Amino acid sequence: MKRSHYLVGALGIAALIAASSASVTIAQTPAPAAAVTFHKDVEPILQKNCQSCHRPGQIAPMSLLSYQAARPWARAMKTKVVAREMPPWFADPQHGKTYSTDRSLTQADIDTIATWVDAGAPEGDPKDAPPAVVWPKDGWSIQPDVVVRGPSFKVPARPPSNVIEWTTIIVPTGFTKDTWVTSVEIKPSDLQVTHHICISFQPHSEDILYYTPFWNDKTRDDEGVEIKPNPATASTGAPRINPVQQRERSPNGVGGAPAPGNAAVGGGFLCYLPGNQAFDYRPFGAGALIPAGYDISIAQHYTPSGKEAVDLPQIGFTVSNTPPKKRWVTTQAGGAGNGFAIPPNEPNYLAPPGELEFGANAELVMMMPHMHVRGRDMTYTVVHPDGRKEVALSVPKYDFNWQMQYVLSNPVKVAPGTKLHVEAHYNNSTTNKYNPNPNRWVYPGNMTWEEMMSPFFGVIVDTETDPTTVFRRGAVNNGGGE
Amino acid sequence: MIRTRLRTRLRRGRLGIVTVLAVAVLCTAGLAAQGAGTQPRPGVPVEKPAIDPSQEIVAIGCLVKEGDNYELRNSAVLIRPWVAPGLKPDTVGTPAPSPSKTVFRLMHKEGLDAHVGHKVEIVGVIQPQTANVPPSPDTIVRPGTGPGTASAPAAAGAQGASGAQGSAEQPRFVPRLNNPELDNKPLKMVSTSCP
Repeated sequence: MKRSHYLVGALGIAALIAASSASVTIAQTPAPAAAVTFHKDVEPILQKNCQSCHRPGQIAPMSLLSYQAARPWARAMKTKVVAREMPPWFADPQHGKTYSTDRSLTQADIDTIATWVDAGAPEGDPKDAPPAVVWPKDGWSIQPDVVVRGPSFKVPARPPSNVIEWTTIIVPTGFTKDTWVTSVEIKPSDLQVTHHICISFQPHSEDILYYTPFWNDKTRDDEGVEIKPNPATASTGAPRINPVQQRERSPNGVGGAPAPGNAAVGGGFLCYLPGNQAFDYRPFGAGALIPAGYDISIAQHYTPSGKEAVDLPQIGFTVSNTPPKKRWVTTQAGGAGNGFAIPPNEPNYLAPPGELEFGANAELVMMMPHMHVRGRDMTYTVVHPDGRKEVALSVPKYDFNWQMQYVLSNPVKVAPGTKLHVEAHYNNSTTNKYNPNPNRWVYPGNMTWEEMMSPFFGVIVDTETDPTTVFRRGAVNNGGGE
Repeated sequence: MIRTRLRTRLRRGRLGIVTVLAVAVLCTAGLAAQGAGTQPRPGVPVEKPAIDPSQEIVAIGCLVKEGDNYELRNSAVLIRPWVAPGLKPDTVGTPAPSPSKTVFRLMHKEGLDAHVGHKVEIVGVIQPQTANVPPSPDTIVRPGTGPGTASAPAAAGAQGASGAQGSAEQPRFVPRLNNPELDNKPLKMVSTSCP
C-alpha cells in the first residue's frame, strides 16, 4: 500500500509545492470592504471542514490553523476543493443518508475559497475571525482522560522483500477497576510507516507474555506475496484460518478480531488506519466497558520507508464515572471468505458477499469499509425482517488512502432477524492506477498488495442488552482474510 | 584571488594544521547538525508534550542468569496509565502488578549477580521491539511450547494449505516471538526465593 500511498503523497505534495510556488506571485493587496477575506469568510470553513486534519500532529502535510500557515497554500487549496479532492469524502449521496463525519464542502464554500484565491488571498481584518477552535493537544483528535502507552516498535529501513509481518503484542491496560470508556483513539507517533494499529481487549491470563511480539514468518514469493493455494484449490474452499481460529492457535492467545465474548469490550475491534478518526461514542450517549484487569491485544502493521523509524503508539480514552445508557459494539460483516480469488486483469470482481444477522434490537451508527489497493467499491445494505432493503452506505470510489468512518446522522434501527449484507468489487486491471500487478491472481492477505474485505461497522444497543446476543455469529460469513 | 592565495598557502604548507582541523571539525559539526534533524539544541528549551504517559514499567519476577546474560522471568508487570490533570489519580483504579510469564532480557548487568535466584523488582523502559530478527531457537515457537499453547499447531503447514509451489510438508508460516529487552535501573530485592 505504501508504494501507492507514497506515490499519491509525493504527487500531491509536488502539486501543492508547484501550486504554492505560483501562489507567491499573488498580489498581497488589501481587500476591498465587501471582498471575501480569510478571517471573515475562509477561516470558518477551514475550522469546520479542514483543521481537524490540517493541524500539527495530524495526517495532513500542512497546517491551516492561521492565515500565515494557510496563505502559501492558497492556490493549491482552490485546485483541490474545486476538483472536490479535498476534503476527502466518498459516500454516494443518492441513497438519502447523511453522515456526521461528512466534511465535504458545499458549492457555496467552494465558491468562497475560489473567490478568495482569485482576489489575491487577502487576510482581511483579524477582528472578523471566528474564535479559534481549541483542538486537543499533541495532535490528538479526542482530549483523552487516560492514556496507555503501546509497545514501541522499531521499523527497519529495508527488510527482506520490504515486508514486515503483522505483529501482535499484549500490554496491560493498567485498569484495575471496571471502567466505562466513551471514546478511544489509537495514535501512532510515526504516521509515515504506520499501515495500521488495531486493538481489542481480552481477559487477563496469568500465562500471557507481555510486550512480546508474536508474528508468523510466512513463505512469500519475490513480490512479497504470501504463497497461496492455486485458484482451483481456493475456489473449492481450501481451508483458510479465520481470526478466531488464529487466536486459538497462537502461542500468546492473540489474533486479529476479539473472541466473540469480548466483541463489545472497550467497543470491540478498533483500528488506526490512514485517514481514520477516533472512535467516539459520546454523540450517541454510549460507552463501552473495559473490565478490571483486562489486557490490550495490539496488532501492528508497519511499512518500511527506506529509513529506520521507531513508532511510539499511545491509546487514549475518555471515561465516564457512570454507566452510559447505550453500549457501543464494533465488528465486521464477514470478510474475504472462502472462494475469494481475484482473477488477473479482472476489472470488476465481485467478492463473496459478507453478511451478518442481528440477534437483538440495535442501531447501526457507523460503517468503515476496509480493502486494499485493488478495492473498488463497497455497499452496506440493511435487509429488514420484512424484506425491505435500505442502503446505509455506498462508497462507489473506494480510496485506500482515505479509510474513514461514515457515522450516520440518523442511525438505522434494526430488529432481531435483520441482516447486514455487504458487497464489494475489486479492480485488478490496468485501469486501476494503484494496482501493483494486474497479471496475477490476488488472494486474501495481510499486505497491501494482497487483498482484504473488511466491512467494519458499529452499533449501539441498550446497556442492559447482553453484548454476546447482538450478532448471531453462526450467520456470519467470515472465512478470514481480516 | 582568495582561492589562489589559499592554494599557494596550502602548497607551501603555511596554512596551519590547526586551521585545517578546525575547518574539518566545523564541516563535521555541520553535517552532524544536518543529520540531527529535530534533535534538541543546547540552550533551547524542549517543549514537553502535554500528554506524556510514562515509558517506565515495574517488573517483579525471578532473576535468572543464562550464560553471560540476565533475564527476569515470570514477571508481574505494573504500568501507570497517564491520567489527565483534574481527574482522580485512581480514575482507572490503583496501579497493581499483573501476573504473567513475561521474560525480560536485562540490558544492564551491574549488581545482578548477587541476586540470581531471587525474586526482585525492577523499574525500566522496554526497548523498541521489532519482528525482523533472524530465526533462532529463542524466537521460533516450538509446537506445544509456550503459554496458552494447548492447541498450538505444529509450525509446518500450520494453516492447513501448502504453497502452490511447495510440497505438502513445506511450512506456510513459522510462528515466532521475541522476548522484550528492558533498560533496567538498579533492582530491589523482594525475597530470596522464587516461587
